[in-house]
Amino acid sequence: MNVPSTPSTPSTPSTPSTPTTPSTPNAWSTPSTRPGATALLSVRDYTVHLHSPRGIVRAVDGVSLTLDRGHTLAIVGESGSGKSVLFRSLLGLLPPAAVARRTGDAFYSGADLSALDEKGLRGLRGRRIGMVFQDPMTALNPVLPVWRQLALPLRRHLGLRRAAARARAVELLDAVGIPDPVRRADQYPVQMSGGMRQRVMIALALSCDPDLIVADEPTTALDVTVQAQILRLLDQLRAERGLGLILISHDLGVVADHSDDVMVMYAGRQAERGPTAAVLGAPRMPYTRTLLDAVPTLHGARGGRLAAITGQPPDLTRTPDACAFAARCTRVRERCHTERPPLTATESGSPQVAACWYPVPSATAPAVASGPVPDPEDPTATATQEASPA
Amino acid sequence: MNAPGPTGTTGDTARPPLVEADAGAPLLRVRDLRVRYGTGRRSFEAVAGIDLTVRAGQTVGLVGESGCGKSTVARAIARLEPGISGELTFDGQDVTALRGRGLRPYRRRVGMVFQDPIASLNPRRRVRDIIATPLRLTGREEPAATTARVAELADLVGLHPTQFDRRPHELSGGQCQRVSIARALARVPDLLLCDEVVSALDVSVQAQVINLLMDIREQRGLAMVFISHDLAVVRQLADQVAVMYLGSLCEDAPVDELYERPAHPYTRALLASVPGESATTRDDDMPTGDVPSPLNPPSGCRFRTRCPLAAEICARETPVPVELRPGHRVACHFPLGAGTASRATTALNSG
Repeated sequence: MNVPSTPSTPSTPSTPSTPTTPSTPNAWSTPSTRPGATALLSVRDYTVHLHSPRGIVRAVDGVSLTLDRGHTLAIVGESGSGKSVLFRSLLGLLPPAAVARRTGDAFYSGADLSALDEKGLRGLRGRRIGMVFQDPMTALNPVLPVWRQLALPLRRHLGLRRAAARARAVELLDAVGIPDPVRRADQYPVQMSGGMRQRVMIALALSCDPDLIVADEPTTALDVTVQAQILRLLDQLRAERGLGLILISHDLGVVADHSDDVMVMYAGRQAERGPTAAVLGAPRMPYTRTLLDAVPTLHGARGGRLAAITGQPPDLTRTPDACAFAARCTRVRERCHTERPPLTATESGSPQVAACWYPVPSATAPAVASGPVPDPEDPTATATQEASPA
Repeated sequence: MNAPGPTGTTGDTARPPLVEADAGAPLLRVRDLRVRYGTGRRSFEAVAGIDLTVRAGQTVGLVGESGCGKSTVARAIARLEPGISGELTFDGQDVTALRGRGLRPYRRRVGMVFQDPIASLNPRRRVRDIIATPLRLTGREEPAATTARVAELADLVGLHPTQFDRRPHELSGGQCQRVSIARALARVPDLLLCDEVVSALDVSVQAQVINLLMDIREQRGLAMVFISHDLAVVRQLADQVAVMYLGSLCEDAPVDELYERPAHPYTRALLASVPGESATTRDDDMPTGDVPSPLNPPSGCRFRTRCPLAAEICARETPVPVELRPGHRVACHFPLGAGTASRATTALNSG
């Protein structure tokens, strides 16, 4: 996979990430974090526990993030890493009976999300925050023509009359690149292809001119050529409208191409976070490194064994109070089994943070006063070697 | 076929040279395979004339988007599709006309693994019974021998003895896929058909299953038809790769040749669409629009409605596959990298 050498937009967050552990109580009362001061979305030490037949599942465990307008934040992780639960919880989409515990702060444009009741959240969803889900066939109503579905939020949130709503629906279909929008507006979802349906979902998310779009695996159900078209559309809309975009994906290639910042999740926790080019180009957390090595690529050596991660993620009903990745890590030492690593800056002042006691040595070592500097002649080899001693 | 040569000259591959495969006669030959679905005016060809050759020990990758007919090809090879025409030759024997009991010796030599690891296993049976079923069907082995054989197969695919008495829902997706592979290997097949076997798995588990398939192939000299929509996964495993679009074959080439010098505009488009590879792609490679319905495919070249190079001839004439270089066939009126005037030329220097 090619990691973009230069990020498409300057991706340093305007509020520097706190290098301290998110579980330290004073981490979010320090003035440097300024919760919600400028950021579109700001989340601090967010935890969600869910009821399950096997006990309490710690689905999201102390997650913090910041997103500015016009930027894309990608959330990567394998199934069960908590990436979807995090945003479903923030947007109030989890069934209340399933939630055992929810703590932490979440601010949207300065407004405290946890203070909102269901009615307040409903006003936010659809109007200020648009959502795009994985499967457009199940997310769209099969018995309504697409224009009627697009008209629902327009009439509800913006109070448009029927004719005006229809005209706006056709405009939206045009904006997301659906050819012949007047005719398509009267069709039902089954009459459209998968790519077309996902465009309708995006039109629906855009309908009330939101500030933020949360796209949860938006292209996983689509073919590769159509996936490329949909991702380009989301990029273009984000740039044109200055939207904030949350891109939840398991695909590191998608993330590398279409995000400014990335957060890697493992077992409900943050493994690593920072500018996409830095995190995917020089990952510090061994989990991120192995994940990158496990993906076959279109270039370079082929036919050799892939770097598979042995074993399985921990049972989230009993996530260890230590490093959650320790049991599968190649760099593991004793401390990893006894103490939970805080999320710390990889270099002082760097926006890249990793939760690891023994991070992978930096590949592109800037002149740091302390610590051994890896061989500048062959930086990638050093990193790979260190990550997987074979 | 000119995958890794007898001396293993391709430096960057860690695979041992496929000496036997190069020397061997074709294990499976598919000629003008057609599969028709439905009847009367509503019928259509899901596979519209495919040629494919798999040699002993060779892995042929089959790529394409959903609905292009790649799974139908695998099911037709396994003789699970009723409405087929064309010619299927396995180890020198014509298997196209075999029926019922006559198919059994053939099916013994061809194993198949499907995409959905949980749905393709019987939810009510235990792992040991699932793996033992093909053994019980084929031979009259002593129960003790069967038990030993199951343990051996489970060990081969990396299943732990504590998992033998579990049922599929008690296992993870990756573990279920291991059970499926063990079941497919139970009768010691010569050919393994893998239909999107890693698509439903997480990245780290996907790597485990790919490694497992590479190990087994090496130990047993298995030939494989590996079907996937993921071009990077196919590149990792295949020696020869065939690209399908709407039921026809666009291009068929040795793996390095296909990825380095794709000749069909559709292959180029597929490669350009792979996320994370954008540094090497250009905008004019990208296809526009969606795949047309296979019920009503375009005339002439089936890709012409999305092709950046389409001309008038593409609507009129179906392009005939032409051998650009040894082992590299392409069905296009304007193959890339061959020059526009070279349509009639079949032999080109490979430099």
